[in-house]
Amino acid sequence: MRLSSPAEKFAAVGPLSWKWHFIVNDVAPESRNETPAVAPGTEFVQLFTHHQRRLFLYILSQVANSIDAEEILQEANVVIWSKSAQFCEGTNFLAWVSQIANFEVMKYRARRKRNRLYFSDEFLETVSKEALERSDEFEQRRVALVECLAKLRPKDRDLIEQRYAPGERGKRLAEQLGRPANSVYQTLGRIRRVLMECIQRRITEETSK
Amino acid sequence: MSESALTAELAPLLEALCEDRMTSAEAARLERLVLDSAEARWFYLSYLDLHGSLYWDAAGVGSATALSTDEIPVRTDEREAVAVPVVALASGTVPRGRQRVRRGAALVVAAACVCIGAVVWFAASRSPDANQLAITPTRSHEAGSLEEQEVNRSETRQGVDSLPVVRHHGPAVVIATPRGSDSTGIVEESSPPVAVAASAPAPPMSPREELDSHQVVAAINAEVRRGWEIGEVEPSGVADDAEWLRRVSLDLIGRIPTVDEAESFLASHRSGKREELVDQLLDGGAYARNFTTIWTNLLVGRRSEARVDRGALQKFLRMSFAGNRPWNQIVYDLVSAEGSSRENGATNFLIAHLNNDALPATAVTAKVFLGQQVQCNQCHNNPFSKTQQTAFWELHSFFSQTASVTRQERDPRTGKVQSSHTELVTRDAGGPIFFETQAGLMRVAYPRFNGHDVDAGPETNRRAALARLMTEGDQPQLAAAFINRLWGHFFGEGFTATVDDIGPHSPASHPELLAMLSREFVRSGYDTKQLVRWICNSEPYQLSSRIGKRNREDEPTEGQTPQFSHMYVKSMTAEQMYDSFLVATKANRAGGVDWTQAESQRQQWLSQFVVNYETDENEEAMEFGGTVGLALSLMNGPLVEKALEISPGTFLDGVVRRKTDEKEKIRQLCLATLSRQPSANELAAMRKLVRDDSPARVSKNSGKQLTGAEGYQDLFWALLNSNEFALIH
Repeated sequence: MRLSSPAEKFAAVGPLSWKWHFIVNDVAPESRNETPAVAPGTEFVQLFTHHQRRLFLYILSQVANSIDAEEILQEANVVIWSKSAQFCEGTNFLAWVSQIANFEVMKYRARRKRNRLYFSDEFLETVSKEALERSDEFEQRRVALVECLAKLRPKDRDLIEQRYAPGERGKRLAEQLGRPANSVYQTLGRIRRVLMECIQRRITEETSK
Repeated sequence: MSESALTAELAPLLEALCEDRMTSAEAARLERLVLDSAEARWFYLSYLDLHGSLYWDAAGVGSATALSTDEIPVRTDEREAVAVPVVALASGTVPRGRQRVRRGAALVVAAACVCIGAVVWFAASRSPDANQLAITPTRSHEAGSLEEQEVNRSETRQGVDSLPVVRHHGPAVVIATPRGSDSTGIVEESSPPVAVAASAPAPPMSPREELDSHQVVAAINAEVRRGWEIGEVEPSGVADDAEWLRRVSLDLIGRIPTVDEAESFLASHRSGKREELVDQLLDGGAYARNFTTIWTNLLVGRRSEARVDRGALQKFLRMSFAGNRPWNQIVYDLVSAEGSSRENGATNFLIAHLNNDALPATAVTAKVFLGQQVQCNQCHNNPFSKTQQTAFWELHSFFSQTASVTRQERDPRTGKVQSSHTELVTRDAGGPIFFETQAGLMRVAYPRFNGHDVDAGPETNRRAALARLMTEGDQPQLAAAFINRLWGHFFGEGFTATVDDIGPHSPASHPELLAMLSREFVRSGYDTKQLVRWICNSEPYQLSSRIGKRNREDEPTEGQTPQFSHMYVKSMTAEQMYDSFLVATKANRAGGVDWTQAESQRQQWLSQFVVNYETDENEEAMEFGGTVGLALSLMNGPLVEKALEISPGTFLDGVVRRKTDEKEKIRQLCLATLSRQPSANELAAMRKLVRDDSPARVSKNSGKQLTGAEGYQDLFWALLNSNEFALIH
C-alpha cells in the first residue's frame, strides 16, 4: 500500500506509532532550517492560518502551561511551513499539523526532562487522541464561551481579563491586587468553574433545541 | 463516582494545573482520574480548552480571534456560520473598548504566527502577482481584525506602560514611558535610541493606524523631509535611471547590472518600474547570495578560522534569506544553534567566536544583533554610555556552557584523517562566572539579560534561554539594530555614527524614523524583504549623489549629522568589486563553474586582502580601503588577464567581434562597466583613445590581431580602473 500524504499515513499507522514515522520519514530535525523550495499555495496558507488557534489548544492540552504551549506552537509552525510541500490538499490538515505538534511536544518534554513533568507519555497519547477526535465540539464551546464571558459579573470579568492579560503568568497578579495569593487563585478557580458550567448549560440547551 | 463528585475532585486539580502550582501527588491523581474515565478525560480537555481560549483571546478581546475565525476545518459552507460568533465575540466581550485592546490581546497569535503567518499575510497583501498568495475568499473579512492584531503586537510581553499615542498623519509621534528601570541588563542600561525603541512601540489609538507599505514609505519620506527643513538643506534631484539602477543592483544583489539588464531598464518608460525592479531583484537568488555574503562576513568574518564551515553557514543563510525567514528566527537559530558545523550551518557563528574564552562570542553577539558595543565593559564601566562591566559578564555567562568539539573521521585502514567537523555542544555546567573589577575585586555574574534572570542551574540551556530573550515577541532593540545596519548598507550612513553602536552616547540622526521603522518591522513579523522594499522605495533612496548648492553641508564624513539629502557615495566592497568585475568582463565564462566553486574562487581572491586580529572581538582589517589602484593591481593577476583576453566567451571578445560600428562598441563597454551611456564628450575622447592605441599595436602583432582590438582592450582596462567603476553612487 502506498500512502501519499502524512494524514493518510497517520490514519494507517495510528497515533501511537506516529513518532517512528516522523523520525524515519518526515521531519528530520536538521531539515528545519530549510525553507520550502516552492512557496506554499493559497489553500495551504489559509489552512495554516485558520488552524493556529486549534493547534495551540491542542498543544496546551498536553503541556498545560500556556507560555510553553505558545513556544511549542512556534516551533511547530516553522516545521509546518518548511514541510508545506508534503501536505496533500484535500486531506485532513488538523491531523497533519497535530502530528508535527506531537513531535515538538516530545522534543519539549525531552528538554524539560530534568524539570518536573506532570504527566506520562501514556497520558499524553490518550488525551491528544481524544482532543483530535472531538475537535469539532470545541468550536461549539468557544461560541458559548463568548456569551458566558459577557454574562460574568463585571468584577469577575475584570479579574479574568487581568489574569489572562499578555505576559501575565498569574503569579504577579495577587501582588498587584494586594490580595493574598491563595484567595486570588480561589477566585479564579471559581470563575473558571462558573464559566465551565455556563458553557455546559449552553451546549445542552443548543442540542436539546 | 458520580459525575458531580468527579468534577468536584477534578476542578481543584485543574485549577492548580492551570496556575502551575500542582504537586506531583496531585498530578499523579489527576492522571489516574483522566486515564480511568472518559468523563474525566472530557472534563480535563474542556477545562484546558477554556484556559487556552481565555489565554489565546486574552480574555475575550475580539481582535485576537481573527486568525482563527473560520478555522473549523475546511468545509467552506460552514464559514459563514462561524463568522457570526466571531462578531459576537468581538462585541460581546470588549465592553470596555479600546483600553482593553491596547492591552495587547493578540500577543499569542502575534508571537506564534507572526513569524510565519504575518509574513505570509504581508506577502499576500503586498504583491498580487506573487504567484500564490492570492486574496482568499475569507480575507476581506479577516483583514480588519488582522490589522488589529498587528497593532496589538506592538506591545512587548514584558509589559510596557504605554501612554496614549499622538499620531499625526504619516509619521507617528510616540509618547511612552520606558520600562521599569530597576534592572541592570545590558539593554536597559544602554537603552538609547533603543530609548527610541525601548521606549516602546506604544500601540496606536485605533487599529486603522496599521501602516501599509505605502504609508511606511510615506512616513520615511516625511521624517527625512522634516530633517531637511530643520537643517535647511535642499535635497539633490532624483537620480537618473542609470545611476539608480547601478546603485540598487549593487546594494541588493551585490553586483553591477549586466548590459542586457541596463538596456532593458533604461529603455522602459513604465511608471513604477523602480518598484518593480526592487521586487524582481528581491525575488531572485542573487539577493539571497548577496545578503549571505554580507552576513557571513559580519558573523564569522572574511577570514574565519579553519574549523568554521563557511559553506554550511552560507547555506543556512542562503536558505534563510531566500525563504525570507523572519529576522528574529534567524537570530534565534544562530544564537541557540547546537550540533555539527557541517549539518547545522548556524552553529558556525559561535564556533568562530569561542577563542579567547569565548569573549568574542559575547562581544560579537551584542554588537551584531543588538547594536551594542560591550567589549570595553569587559574590563571597566563605560564612561560614555551607561553600560556596566557587570552587564558584560552577565551576558557572557550565557556562553559559559558552550564548547566546541572537533571530530575527525579516519580511514579505518590507513588511519589517516579523512575529514573533520566541529560540534557545538552545551555542557551541563551551572553556577556563576567570575570577573575582576578595576579595583581588583573578584565579582560574580549570573546569566541575566535585559532584566531577566535565568536559572543558573546546570539543567538550564543558557544559550537557548538567551536566544529566546533576544528574539521572542517584540524586540525593539533587535529590530533597531538590524534596521540601522540595513539603512547604513543602503545609504552609506546609518542613523548613528557607527551602525552597530547604538546608545545614549551616540544619538540617532532620526530617532522618530528609527522608532517608526522598528515598530513596523516588528509588526511585519521581522520581514526582511519588506524592510528592504520600504527603504529602496523611499524618496531619499531615489536621490542623486550629485551635491547641490543647498546641501553641500550634508556630508557625514566631515562629521555632520546625515540628512540623506543626497546619496552618499560608497566604495564597493571587495566582494562587490569582484562580482561586478566578473559581470562586466564575463571573465568567468571560460569554464563553467558552479556556485560552490565560484564561491571558493572568490574567497581565495579575497583572502589576499584580509588580516585577522585575534582580539576579543575578532576584528579584521581589510586592506582594500577603497584604493582602486591597489585593488586592480591585485586584480591584474590571472583574472584581469583573462578578462582582457580576446578569446571566445569573454565580453570583450564579443564586443570586438560583433559587426557594429565603433560608437556602438564603445557604448557597450560603457554600459558594461558604468551601466550608462557615454556623454558626447566622453565618446569623442574614447574614440580617440581607441584609434590612437590600435594601429600601432596591431602592426606589432603581425597584423593578425583584429583591427582595433587593442584599442578596445585599453579602453576597457581604463574603464575598469576608473573611480566611477569602483564607487556606488
